[in-house]
Amino acid sequence: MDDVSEVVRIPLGGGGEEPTEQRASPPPADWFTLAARAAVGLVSLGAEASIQIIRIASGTPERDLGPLTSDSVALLAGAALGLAIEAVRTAAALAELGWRAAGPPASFIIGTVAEAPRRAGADLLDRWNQSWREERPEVQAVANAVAVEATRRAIDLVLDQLDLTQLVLDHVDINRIVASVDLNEVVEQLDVDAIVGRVDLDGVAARIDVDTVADRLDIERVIARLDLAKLSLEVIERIDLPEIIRTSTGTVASESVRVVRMQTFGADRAISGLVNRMLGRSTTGGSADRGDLDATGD
Amino acid sequence: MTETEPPAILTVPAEARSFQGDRAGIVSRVLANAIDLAILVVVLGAGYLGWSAWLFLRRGASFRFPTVTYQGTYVVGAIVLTLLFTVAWSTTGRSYGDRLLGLRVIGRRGDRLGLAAAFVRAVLCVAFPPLLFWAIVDRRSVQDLVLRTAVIYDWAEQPRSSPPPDPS
Repeated sequence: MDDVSEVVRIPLGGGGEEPTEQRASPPPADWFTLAARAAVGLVSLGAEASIQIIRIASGTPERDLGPLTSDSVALLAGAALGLAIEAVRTAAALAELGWRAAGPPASFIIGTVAEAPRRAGADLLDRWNQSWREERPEVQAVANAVAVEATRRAIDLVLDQLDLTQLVLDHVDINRIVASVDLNEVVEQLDVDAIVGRVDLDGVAARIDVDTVADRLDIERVIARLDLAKLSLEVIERIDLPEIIRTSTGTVASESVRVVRMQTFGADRAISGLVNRMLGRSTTGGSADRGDLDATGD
Repeated sequence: MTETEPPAILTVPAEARSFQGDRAGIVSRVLANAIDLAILVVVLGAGYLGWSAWLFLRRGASFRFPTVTYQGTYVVGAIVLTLLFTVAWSTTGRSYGDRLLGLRVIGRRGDRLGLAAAFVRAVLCVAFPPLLFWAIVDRRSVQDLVLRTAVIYDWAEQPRSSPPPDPS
């Protein structure tokens, strides 16, 4: 009960325009009469209640007052109330008459007097509105910038306090997300050449199982492109295959021939050296012989 | 030999590779000729025996070993030796003695001698053997000087495939 009684009820919607309606349509005369009767009734009830309270307080029983006293009071009260009602009715009639007589001029005066402030207020509002319209883009831009910056900083502050990665790992089904991605379309947008350029192909090649690759090669085609004769000769020369064959399958005869050849070569060189010394020629050995030779095959 | 050519397989021992292609000295050449003369003796003896066998088949009981004179033997030996040298030098470039000693006869361009050149050289060598000893001085015999041939160390079985350019 306290809540209801203490609520301050504020008239909403059209409260400010109530005087205008009152001016346009004055209340009926019965309104005053009804209000007066209600007031008188209230006063009567109040009076009766007061008397009752006084009587209880004084301890005087109702019968002790006597019929005359009770009736007198009632008579006086009724007379007073009737008078009051009549007075109110008269006043209401007068007021209605006065209102009808003075209503239009009063409305004119009130309208005239109130029009200037109202127009001034409207003009002021228009100017403010116009000013707002002119300033609106810039103000909105500034407001947007401020809002964006503020939002960004706020988000940064929030993000600094959060471990987003852990949050995502805890609460997001990444497999489901990946399954919903069209990887082919992603790959088409990639610059694969640039990616390959960043790859250590040597390192990759070192990890390749060459045997598996070799199994898939057409070896015969590769061999067909090789100069096997030249390659074989180079190999034979490098490993000194003739020497290997000689040492492994040499016979006494070939070894004897070899010794005889070397000994005769030594004898040739000795005699040449002796002759050269006798003739006073420079002895440069085989190279001189080769240099003088017209047809040695070198 | 240039680097663009395929490498030749050297069948000669490593210690002998340094002097392959050099002119042969007098010892090698004389020894080779001595072996060739021994071969000639064997050939002549075989020829003699063959001829005797032929006469034995023809004459039967009246067979007697044919008598050979020094002049006849020398002429026949010279002819046979010339033929042997000609065939040897024009085909493999080396006689049997040359082959044992690892020598080879080559022409002015380092190639094998032609049949005519081989025959002329064989005639000169057989007719004037002492001219060989000029090789003591020059490592070239007079025959080599005349015919512009050479005898070189070549232990390889196959002659060299790339003749040197003509120095003249």
